[in-house]
Amino acid sequence: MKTTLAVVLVTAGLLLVVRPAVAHHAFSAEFDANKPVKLTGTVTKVEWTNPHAWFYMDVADATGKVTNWAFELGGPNGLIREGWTRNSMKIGEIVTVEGSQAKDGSPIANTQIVTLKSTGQRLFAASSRGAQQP
Amino acid sequence: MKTFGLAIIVAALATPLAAQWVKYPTPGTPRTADGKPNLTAPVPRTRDGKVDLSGMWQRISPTYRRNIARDLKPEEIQPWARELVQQRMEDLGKGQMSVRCLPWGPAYPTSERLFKVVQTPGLILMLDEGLVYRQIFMDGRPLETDPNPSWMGYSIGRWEGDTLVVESAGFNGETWLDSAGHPHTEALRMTERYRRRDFGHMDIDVTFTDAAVYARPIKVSLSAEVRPDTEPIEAVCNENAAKSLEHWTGKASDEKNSGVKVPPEVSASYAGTYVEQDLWGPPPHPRTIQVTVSNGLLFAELSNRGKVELFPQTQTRFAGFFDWSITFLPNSDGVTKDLLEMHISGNYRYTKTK
Repeated sequence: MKTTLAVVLVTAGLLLVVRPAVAHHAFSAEFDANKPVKLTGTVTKVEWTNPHAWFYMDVADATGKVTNWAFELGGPNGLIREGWTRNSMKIGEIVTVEGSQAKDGSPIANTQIVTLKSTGQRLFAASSRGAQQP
Repeated sequence: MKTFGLAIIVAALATPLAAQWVKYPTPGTPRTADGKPNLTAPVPRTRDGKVDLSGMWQRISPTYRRNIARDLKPEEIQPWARELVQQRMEDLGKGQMSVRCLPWGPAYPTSERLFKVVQTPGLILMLDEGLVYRQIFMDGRPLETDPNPSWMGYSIGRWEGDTLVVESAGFNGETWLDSAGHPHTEALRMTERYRRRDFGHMDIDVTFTDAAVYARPIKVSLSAEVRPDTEPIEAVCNENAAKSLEHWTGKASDEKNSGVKVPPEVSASYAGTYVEQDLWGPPPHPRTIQVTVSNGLLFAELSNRGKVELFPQTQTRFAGFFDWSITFLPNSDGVTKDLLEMHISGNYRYTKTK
Protein backbone atom coordinates (compact mmCIF):
# COMPACT_ATOMS: atom_id res chain seq x y z
CA MET A 1 0.00 0.00 0.00
CA LYS A 2 1.54 3.30 -1.03
CA THR A 3 0.83 6.60 0.63
CA THR A 4 0.29 8.98 -2.30
CA LEU A 5 -3.31 7.98 -2.82
CA ALA A 6 -3.76 8.16 0.93
CA VAL A 7 -2.89 11.87 0.83
CA VAL A 8 -5.75 12.47 -1.60
CA LEU A 9 -8.21 10.49 0.47
CA VAL A 10 -7.14 12.00 3.80
CA THR A 11 -7.91 15.40 2.34
CA ALA A 12 -11.24 14.12 1.13
CA GLY A 13 -12.09 12.93 4.62
CA LEU A 14 -12.43 9.29 3.62
CA LEU A 15 -9.71 8.17 6.01
CA LEU A 16 -10.62 5.18 8.09
CA VAL A 17 -8.21 2.96 9.89
CA VAL A 18 -9.34 -0.52 8.95
CA ARG A 19 -8.53 -3.58 10.99
CA PRO A 20 -8.99 -7.14 9.85
CA ALA A 21 -12.23 -8.70 10.96
CA VAL A 22 -10.64 -12.11 11.42
CA ALA A 23 -7.53 -12.90 13.34
CA HIS A 24 -4.45 -12.61 11.27
CA HIS A 25 -3.20 -15.78 9.69
CA ALA A 26 0.23 -16.32 8.32
CA PHE A 27 0.91 -15.72 4.64
CA SER A 28 3.20 -18.70 4.73
CA ALA A 29 0.41 -21.04 5.83
CA GLU A 30 -1.14 -20.77 2.41
CA PHE A 31 1.14 -19.08 -0.09
CA ASP A 32 4.73 -19.45 -1.24
CA ALA A 33 6.67 -16.24 -1.76
CA ASN A 34 9.06 -18.35 -3.87
CA LYS A 35 6.30 -18.64 -6.45
CA PRO A 36 5.42 -15.14 -7.60
CA VAL A 37 2.80 -14.87 -10.32
CA LYS A 38 1.78 -12.10 -12.66
CA LEU A 39 -1.18 -13.19 -14.73
CA THR A 40 -3.57 -11.49 -17.11
CA GLY A 41 -6.97 -12.95 -17.81
CA THR A 42 -10.70 -12.55 -17.98
CA VAL A 43 -12.74 -12.38 -14.78
CA THR A 44 -15.26 -15.22 -14.60
CA LYS A 45 -16.63 -14.92 -11.06
CA VAL A 46 -16.51 -12.80 -7.91
CA GLU A 47 -17.31 -14.29 -4.49
CA TRP A 48 -17.94 -11.39 -2.15
CA THR A 49 -17.79 -13.56 0.97
CA ASN A 50 -16.39 -13.79 4.45
CA PRO A 51 -13.80 -14.40 5.71
CA HIS A 52 -12.08 -13.64 2.38
CA ALA A 53 -13.46 -12.40 -0.91
CA TRP A 54 -12.31 -14.35 -3.96
CA PHE A 55 -12.33 -13.76 -7.69
CA TYR A 56 -11.71 -16.17 -10.55
CA MET A 57 -10.07 -15.57 -13.87
CA ASP A 58 -9.49 -17.57 -17.05
CA VAL A 59 -5.81 -17.43 -17.93
CA ALA A 60 -4.48 -18.77 -21.24
CA ASP A 61 -0.95 -20.15 -21.37
CA ALA A 62 1.41 -19.89 -24.35
CA THR A 63 -0.25 -22.87 -26.03
CA GLY A 64 -3.69 -21.37 -25.59
CA LYS A 65 -4.72 -23.79 -22.87
CA VAL A 66 -7.01 -22.02 -20.40
CA THR A 67 -6.83 -22.51 -16.64
CA ASN A 68 -9.28 -20.92 -14.24
CA TRP A 69 -7.29 -19.31 -11.41
CA ALA A 70 -8.65 -18.32 -8.01
CA PHE A 71 -7.37 -15.21 -6.21
CA GLU A 72 -7.81 -14.48 -2.54
CA LEU A 73 -8.58 -10.94 -1.39
CA GLY A 74 -9.04 -9.49 2.06
CA GLY A 75 -12.35 -9.63 3.86
CA PRO A 76 -15.31 -7.78 2.34
CA ASN A 77 -15.80 -5.57 5.42
CA GLY A 78 -12.37 -4.04 5.00
CA LEU A 79 -12.92 -3.63 1.27
CA ILE A 80 -16.34 -2.03 1.80
CA ARG A 81 -14.91 0.45 4.29
CA GLU A 82 -12.30 1.34 1.66
CA GLY A 83 -15.10 2.14 -0.78
CA TRP A 84 -15.12 -1.08 -2.84
CA THR A 85 -18.24 -3.17 -3.47
CA ARG A 86 -19.17 -6.54 -4.92
CA ASN A 87 -19.66 -4.75 -8.24
CA SER A 88 -16.23 -3.12 -8.36
CA MET A 89 -14.92 -5.94 -10.54
CA LYS A 90 -17.11 -6.96 -13.47
CA ILE A 91 -17.42 -10.39 -15.04
CA GLY A 92 -15.66 -10.32 -18.39
CA GLU A 93 -13.24 -7.59 -17.34
CA ILE A 94 -9.59 -8.17 -18.28
CA VAL A 95 -7.30 -7.72 -15.29
CA THR A 96 -3.67 -8.30 -14.41
CA VAL A 97 -2.96 -9.82 -11.00
CA GLU A 98 0.31 -9.96 -9.11
CA GLY A 99 0.64 -12.25 -6.13
CA SER A 100 2.15 -15.44 -4.77
CA GLN A 101 0.95 -18.90 -5.68
CA ALA A 102 -0.47 -21.40 -3.19
CA LYS A 103 2.08 -23.61 -1.45
CA ASP A 104 0.34 -26.71 -2.72
CA GLY A 105 0.80 -25.65 -6.35
CA SER A 106 -2.91 -25.17 -7.14
CA PRO A 107 -3.94 -22.43 -9.55
CA ILE A 108 -4.59 -20.18 -6.58
CA ALA A 109 -2.77 -17.06 -5.48
CA ASN A 110 -3.12 -14.23 -3.06
CA THR A 111 -3.66 -10.77 -4.50
CA GLN A 112 -1.09 -8.06 -4.02
CA ILE A 113 -1.94 -5.90 -7.01
CA VAL A 114 -4.98 -6.09 -9.31
CA THR A 115 -4.96 -3.77 -12.30
CA LEU A 116 -7.70 -3.17 -14.85
CA LYS A 117 -6.12 -3.69 -18.27
CA SER A 118 -8.28 -1.04 -19.94
CA THR A 119 -7.55 1.89 -17.63
CA GLY A 120 -4.61 0.83 -15.47
CA GLN A 121 -6.75 1.51 -12.40
CA ARG A 122 -5.85 -0.50 -9.31
CA LEU A 123 -8.79 -2.42 -7.88
CA PHE A 124 -9.27 -3.24 -4.20
CA ALA A 125 -6.26 -1.15 -3.22
CA ALA A 126 -6.03 -0.30 0.46
CA SER A 127 -6.36 3.43 0.23
CA SER A 128 -5.80 4.82 3.66
CA ARG A 129 -2.76 5.21 5.84
CA GLY A 130 -2.62 2.34 8.26
CA ALA A 131 -5.17 0.17 6.47
CA GLN A 132 -4.54 -3.27 7.75
CA GLN A 133 -5.40 -6.12 5.44
CA PRO A 134 -3.22 -8.94 6.75
CA MET B 1 -16.93 22.83 -1.62
CA LYS B 2 -15.12 19.95 0.00
CA THR B 3 -17.97 17.47 -0.40
CA PHE B 4 -18.03 18.04 -4.20
CA GLY B 5 -14.36 17.14 -4.41
CA LEU B 6 -15.02 14.10 -2.23
CA ALA B 7 -17.77 12.93 -4.57
CA ILE B 8 -15.44 13.12 -7.57
CA ILE B 9 -12.76 11.07 -5.85
CA VAL B 10 -15.26 8.49 -4.65
CA ALA B 11 -16.80 8.25 -8.11
CA ALA B 12 -13.39 7.67 -9.60
CA LEU B 13 -12.76 4.75 -7.28
CA ALA B 14 -16.01 2.97 -6.58
CA THR B 15 -19.77 3.11 -7.01
CA PRO B 16 -20.46 6.29 -5.02
CA LEU B 17 -23.96 5.40 -3.89
CA ALA B 18 -23.23 1.94 -2.52
CA ALA B 19 -23.52 1.01 1.16
CA GLN B 20 -24.61 4.45 2.36
CA TRP B 21 -24.86 3.44 6.02
CA VAL B 22 -21.12 2.81 6.06
CA LYS B 23 -20.79 6.59 6.13
CA TYR B 24 -24.03 8.07 7.47
CA PRO B 25 -24.25 10.76 10.18
CA THR B 26 -24.98 9.18 13.57
CA PRO B 27 -27.60 11.25 15.41
CA GLY B 28 -26.38 12.83 18.63
CA THR B 29 -22.74 13.02 17.55
CA PRO B 30 -21.11 16.22 18.84
CA ARG B 31 -19.62 18.15 15.91
CA THR B 32 -17.18 20.96 15.34
CA ALA B 33 -18.14 24.06 13.37
CA ASP B 34 -17.28 22.39 10.04
CA GLY B 35 -19.58 19.44 10.76
CA LYS B 36 -16.89 16.89 11.60
CA PRO B 37 -17.38 14.66 14.65
CA ASN B 38 -15.74 16.18 17.72
CA LEU B 39 -13.85 13.26 19.24
CA THR B 40 -12.60 15.33 22.17
CA ALA B 41 -16.05 16.59 23.20
CA PRO B 42 -16.97 15.84 26.81
CA VAL B 43 -18.07 12.35 27.84
CA PRO B 44 -21.78 11.87 27.05
CA ARG B 45 -24.00 11.07 30.01
CA THR B 46 -27.39 9.44 30.44
CA ARG B 47 -30.32 11.22 32.08
CA ASP B 48 -29.40 9.81 35.48
CA GLY B 49 -25.86 11.16 35.20
CA LYS B 50 -24.05 7.95 34.35
CA VAL B 51 -21.41 7.89 31.64
CA ASP B 52 -22.99 6.68 28.38
CA LEU B 53 -20.77 4.17 26.59
CA SER B 54 -23.14 3.85 23.62
CA GLY B 55 -21.52 4.10 20.23
CA MET B 56 -19.51 2.36 17.57
CA TRP B 57 -16.02 1.55 18.83
CA GLN B 58 -12.75 0.33 17.33
CA ARG B 59 -10.56 -1.46 19.85
CA ILE B 60 -6.83 -0.77 19.64
CA SER B 61 -4.83 -3.59 21.19
CA PRO B 62 -1.38 -3.85 19.65
CA THR B 63 0.48 -5.08 22.72
CA TYR B 64 -1.63 -7.99 23.85
CA ARG B 65 -4.04 -9.06 21.14
CA ARG B 66 -1.84 -11.84 19.80
CA ASN B 67 -0.48 -12.91 23.20
CA ILE B 68 -2.35 -11.94 26.35
CA ALA B 69 0.23 -13.78 28.50
CA ARG B 70 3.27 -11.88 27.22
CA ASP B 71 4.01 -10.38 30.66
CA LEU B 72 4.02 -13.78 32.36
CA LYS B 73 7.18 -15.77 32.95
CA PRO B 74 7.11 -19.28 31.50
CA GLU B 75 7.01 -20.83 34.98
CA GLU B 76 3.80 -18.89 35.68
CA ILE B 77 2.00 -20.93 33.02
CA GLN B 78 1.25 -24.64 33.48
CA PRO B 79 3.58 -26.82 31.33
CA TRP B 80 0.64 -28.47 29.56
CA ALA B 81 -0.67 -25.03 28.60
CA ARG B 82 2.72 -23.94 27.28
CA GLU B 83 2.97 -27.12 25.23
CA LEU B 84 -0.54 -26.60 23.90
CA VAL B 85 0.36 -23.08 22.76
CA GLN B 86 3.44 -24.45 20.93
CA GLN B 87 1.36 -27.13 19.26
CA ARG B 88 -1.35 -24.67 18.21
CA MET B 89 1.20 -22.30 16.69
CA GLU B 90 3.04 -25.17 14.99
CA ASP B 91 -0.25 -26.15 13.40
CA LEU B 92 -0.50 -22.65 11.85
CA GLY B 93 -3.19 -21.56 14.26
CA LYS B 94 -5.83 -23.51 12.37
CA GLY B 95 -7.76 -24.17 15.56
CA GLN B 96 -8.48 -20.48 16.24
CA MET B 97 -12.08 -19.51 16.75
CA SER B 98 -11.75 -17.04 13.89
CA VAL B 99 -10.64 -19.80 11.50
CA ARG B 100 -13.26 -22.30 12.72
CA CYS B 101 -15.94 -19.60 12.64
CA LEU B 102 -16.89 -20.00 16.29
CA PRO B 103 -17.52 -17.27 18.87
CA TRP B 104 -14.32 -15.91 20.37
CA GLY B 105 -15.89 -15.59 23.83
CA PRO B 106 -13.41 -14.08 26.31
CA ALA B 107 -11.02 -13.14 23.48
CA TYR B 108 -13.28 -10.36 22.14
CA PRO B 109 -12.56 -7.73 24.81
CA THR B 110 -8.78 -7.80 24.17
CA SER B 111 -9.03 -8.08 20.38
CA GLU B 112 -8.96 -5.35 17.73
CA ARG B 113 -12.52 -5.88 16.57
CA LEU B 114 -15.13 -3.19 16.04
CA PHE B 115 -18.03 -3.33 18.49
CA LYS B 116 -21.21 -1.40 19.06
CA VAL B 117 -22.35 -0.56 22.59
CA VAL B 118 -26.04 -0.03 23.27
CA GLN B 119 -26.55 1.21 26.82
CA THR B 120 -29.87 1.09 28.66
CA PRO B 121 -30.29 1.60 32.43
CA GLY B 122 -30.59 -2.09 33.31
CA LEU B 123 -28.67 -3.70 30.48
CA ILE B 124 -25.66 -2.92 28.31
CA LEU B 125 -25.33 -4.72 24.99
CA MET B 126 -22.10 -5.20 23.09
CA LEU B 127 -22.63 -6.21 19.46
CA ASP B 128 -19.98 -7.70 17.19
CA GLU B 129 -19.98 -7.69 13.38
CA GLY B 130 -19.88 -11.49 13.46
CA LEU B 131 -23.48 -11.41 14.73
CA VAL B 132 -22.38 -12.23 18.27
CA TYR B 133 -23.75 -10.28 21.22
CA ARG B 134 -23.01 -9.91 24.91
CA GLN B 135 -25.47 -8.89 27.57
CA ILE B 136 -24.05 -7.10 30.61
CA PHE B 137 -26.77 -7.02 33.27
CA MET B 138 -26.79 -3.84 35.34
CA ASP B 139 -29.79 -4.77 37.51
CA GLY B 140 -27.87 -5.98 40.56
CA ARG B 141 -28.29 -9.69 39.90
CA PRO B 142 -25.45 -11.94 41.06
CA LEU B 143 -23.60 -14.26 38.70
CA GLU B 144 -25.13 -17.73 38.56
CA THR B 145 -23.63 -20.26 40.98
CA ASP B 146 -23.97 -23.14 38.52
CA PRO B 147 -24.06 -21.70 35.02
CA ASN B 148 -24.49 -23.78 31.92
CA PRO B 149 -21.03 -23.35 30.29
CA SER B 150 -21.23 -21.08 27.28
CA TRP B 151 -19.08 -19.53 24.56
CA MET B 152 -19.74 -15.92 25.56
CA GLY B 153 -20.01 -16.35 29.34
CA TYR B 154 -22.41 -14.48 31.59
CA SER B 155 -21.74 -10.88 32.53
CA ILE B 156 -22.86 -8.46 35.22
CA GLY B 157 -21.77 -4.88 35.57
CA ARG B 158 -21.70 -1.97 38.00
CA TRP B 159 -20.42 1.60 38.04
CA GLU B 160 -17.43 2.58 40.13
CA GLY B 161 -17.61 6.32 39.65
CA ASP B 162 -17.27 6.82 35.91
CA THR B 163 -15.76 3.37 35.28
CA LEU B 164 -17.91 0.45 34.15
CA VAL B 165 -16.72 -2.73 35.90
CA VAL B 166 -17.87 -6.00 34.34
CA GLU B 167 -17.52 -9.44 35.93
CA SER B 168 -17.93 -12.53 33.75
CA ALA B 169 -17.93 -16.27 34.39
CA GLY B 170 -19.59 -19.41 33.05
CA PHE B 171 -17.38 -19.80 30.01
CA ASN B 172 -16.94 -23.18 28.38
CA GLY B 173 -13.34 -24.32 28.05
CA GLU B 174 -13.34 -24.29 24.26
CA THR B 175 -11.97 -20.90 23.33
CA TRP B 176 -8.46 -19.51 22.95
CA LEU B 177 -7.70 -16.37 24.91
CA ASP B 178 -5.62 -15.04 21.99
CA SER B 179 -4.39 -16.03 18.54
CA ALA B 180 -1.28 -17.61 20.08
CA GLY B 181 -3.61 -20.21 21.57
CA HIS B 182 -3.48 -19.59 25.33
CA PRO B 183 -6.08 -21.92 26.85
CA HIS B 184 -8.45 -21.49 29.76
CA THR B 185 -10.81 -23.70 31.77
CA GLU B 186 -14.48 -23.39 32.73
CA ALA B 187 -13.28 -21.74 35.94
CA LEU B 188 -12.12 -18.62 34.04
CA ARG B 189 -13.20 -15.31 35.57
CA MET B 190 -12.87 -12.16 33.51
CA THR B 191 -13.04 -8.60 34.88
CA GLU B 192 -13.23 -5.65 32.51
CA ARG B 193 -12.97 -1.95 33.32
CA TYR B 194 -14.20 0.55 30.74
CA ARG B 195 -13.45 4.23 31.23
CA ARG B 196 -14.62 6.63 28.54
CA ARG B 197 -12.29 9.64 28.78
CA ASP B 198 -14.10 11.88 26.29
CA PHE B 199 -16.51 11.42 23.41
CA GLY B 200 -14.01 9.63 21.19
CA HIS B 201 -11.68 7.69 23.52
CA MET B 202 -11.95 4.87 26.02
CA ASP B 203 -9.42 3.04 28.19
CA ILE B 204 -10.02 -0.67 28.76
CA ASP B 205 -8.41 -3.02 31.27
CA VAL B 206 -9.12 -6.74 31.26
CA THR B 207 -8.04 -9.21 33.95
CA PHE B 208 -8.20 -12.99 33.45
CA THR B 209 -8.09 -15.27 36.47
CA ASP B 210 -7.76 -19.03 35.95
CA ALA B 211 -5.57 -20.54 38.66
CA ALA B 212 -5.57 -23.99 37.09
CA VAL B 213 -3.59 -22.57 34.16
CA TYR B 214 -1.97 -19.27 35.17
CA ALA B 215 -0.20 -18.77 38.50
CA ARG B 216 -1.37 -15.16 38.79
CA PRO B 217 -4.11 -13.03 37.22
CA ILE B 218 -3.28 -11.83 33.70
CA LYS B 219 -3.75 -8.07 33.22
CA VAL B 220 -4.22 -6.64 29.75
CA SER B 221 -4.52 -2.96 28.82
CA LEU B 222 -5.93 -1.62 25.60
CA SER B 223 -7.99 1.28 24.34
CA ALA B 224 -10.83 2.04 21.98
CA GLU B 225 -11.77 4.93 19.70
CA VAL B 226 -15.15 5.95 18.41
CA ARG B 227 -15.72 5.27 14.73
CA PRO B 228 -18.18 8.05 14.02
CA ASP B 229 -20.95 8.04 11.45
CA THR B 230 -20.73 4.35 10.60
CA GLU B 231 -22.39 1.06 11.50
CA PRO B 232 -21.25 -2.53 12.01
CA ILE B 233 -21.10 -4.49 8.75
CA GLU B 234 -22.32 -8.05 9.04
CA ALA B 235 -19.54 -10.62 8.64
CA VAL B 236 -20.69 -14.25 8.64
CA CYS B 237 -17.41 -16.13 8.79
CA ASN B 238 -18.88 -19.51 7.94
CA GLU B 239 -20.15 -18.52 4.50
CA ASN B 240 -16.88 -19.35 2.77
CA ALA B 241 -14.38 -20.31 5.47
CA ALA B 242 -13.50 -23.71 4.05
CA LYS B 243 -12.17 -22.18 0.84
CA SER B 244 -8.99 -20.73 2.35
CA LEU B 245 -8.43 -23.55 4.79
CA GLU B 246 -8.26 -26.13 2.00
CA HIS B 247 -4.89 -24.74 1.02
CA TRP B 248 -3.19 -24.31 4.38
CA THR B 249 -0.41 -26.87 4.36
CA GLY B 250 2.67 -27.71 6.33
CA LYS B 251 3.78 -26.69 9.77
CA ALA B 252 5.09 -23.45 11.23
CA SER B 253 8.52 -24.97 11.77
CA ASP B 254 8.90 -25.80 8.06
CA GLU B 255 10.46 -22.40 7.46
CA LYS B 256 13.18 -23.19 10.01
CA ASN B 257 14.16 -26.28 8.04
CA SER B 258 14.68 -24.82 4.58
CA GLY B 259 18.26 -26.04 4.40
CA VAL B 260 19.34 -22.71 2.92
CA LYS B 261 22.63 -21.33 4.24
CA VAL B 262 23.60 -17.68 3.86
CA PRO B 263 27.34 -16.82 3.98
CA PRO B 264 28.32 -14.65 6.98
CA GLU B 265 29.45 -11.73 4.84
CA VAL B 266 26.05 -11.67 3.12
CA SER B 267 24.19 -11.69 6.46
CA ALA B 268 26.47 -8.91 7.69
CA SER B 269 25.57 -6.81 4.66
CA TYR B 270 21.92 -6.91 5.72
CA ALA B 271 22.57 -5.49 9.19
CA GLY B 272 21.36 -1.98 9.92
CA THR B 273 18.35 0.09 10.87
CA TYR B 274 15.57 0.32 8.33
CA VAL B 275 12.77 2.89 8.47
CA GLU B 276 9.23 2.28 7.22
CA GLN B 277 8.39 4.01 3.91
CA ASP B 278 5.11 2.30 2.94
CA LEU B 279 2.85 2.56 5.95
CA TRP B 280 0.94 -0.41 7.27
CA GLY B 281 -0.90 -1.01 10.48
CA PRO B 282 -1.68 1.18 13.45
CA PRO B 283 0.50 4.10 14.60
CA PRO B 284 3.03 5.04 15.77
CA HIS B 285 4.79 5.54 12.45
CA PRO B 286 7.31 5.16 11.08
CA ARG B 287 8.08 1.71 12.36
CA THR B 288 11.72 0.65 12.29
CA ILE B 289 13.36 -2.73 11.82
CA GLN B 290 16.78 -3.22 13.33
CA VAL B 291 18.64 -6.11 11.71
CA THR B 292 21.59 -7.59 13.59
CA VAL B 293 23.87 -10.60 13.22
CA SER B 294 24.86 -12.75 16.19
CA ASN B 295 26.72 -16.07 16.05
CA GLY B 296 26.02 -16.30 12.34
CA LEU B 297 22.28 -15.91 12.88
CA LEU B 298 20.21 -12.99 11.59
CA PHE B 299 17.82 -11.19 13.96
CA ALA B 300 15.27 -8.47 13.34
CA GLU B 301 13.71 -6.20 15.92
CA LEU B 302 10.48 -4.42 14.99
CA SER B 303 9.96 -1.15 16.84
CA ASN B 304 6.57 -1.95 18.32
CA ARG B 305 6.77 -5.76 18.52
CA GLY B 306 10.11 -7.12 19.66
CA LYS B 307 13.04 -9.13 18.37
CA VAL B 308 12.93 -12.42 16.47
CA GLU B 309 15.30 -14.74 14.65
CA LEU B 310 15.06 -14.76 10.86
CA PHE B 311 15.21 -18.03 8.91
CA PRO B 312 16.65 -17.97 5.37
CA GLN B 313 14.40 -19.28 2.60
CA THR B 314 16.67 -17.94 -0.15
CA GLN B 315 19.81 -15.79 -0.06
CA THR B 316 17.65 -12.66 0.21
CA ARG B 317 14.34 -13.78 1.72
CA PHE B 318 13.87 -14.65 5.37
CA ALA B 319 10.86 -16.04 7.20
CA GLY B 320 10.03 -15.82 10.88
CA PHE B 321 9.27 -12.11 11.04
CA PHE B 322 6.00 -12.16 13.01
CA ASP B 323 4.13 -14.28 10.37
CA TRP B 324 5.59 -12.13 7.58
CA SER B 325 8.72 -12.51 5.50
CA ILE B 326 11.50 -10.02 4.87
CA THR B 327 13.18 -9.72 1.49
CA PHE B 328 16.41 -7.76 1.37
CA LEU B 329 17.09 -5.87 -1.87
CA PRO B 330 20.84 -5.75 -2.52
CA ASN B 331 21.88 -3.66 -5.51
CA SER B 332 24.30 -4.86 -8.21
CA ASP B 333 27.24 -3.96 -5.93
CA GLY B 334 25.87 -6.14 -3.14
CA VAL B 335 24.94 -3.12 -1.02
CA THR B 336 21.53 -3.40 0.66
CA LYS B 337 19.64 -0.17 1.23
CA ASP B 338 16.06 -1.48 1.23
CA LEU B 339 13.99 -4.34 2.47
CA LEU B 340 10.41 -5.44 1.88
CA GLU B 341 8.10 -6.59 4.66
CA MET B 342 5.95 -9.15 2.86
CA HIS B 343 2.27 -9.39 3.77
CA ILE B 344 -0.68 -11.16 2.18
CA SER B 345 -1.84 -7.71 1.09
CA GLY B 346 1.46 -6.81 -0.54
CA ASN B 347 4.99 -5.65 0.14
CA TYR B 348 5.87 -2.72 2.37
CA ARG B 349 9.22 -1.05 1.83
CA TYR B 350 11.71 0.05 4.48
CA THR B 351 14.89 2.01 3.75
CA LYS B 352 18.16 1.75 5.66
CA THR B 353 19.19 4.86 7.55
CA LYS B 354 22.34 3.57 9.18
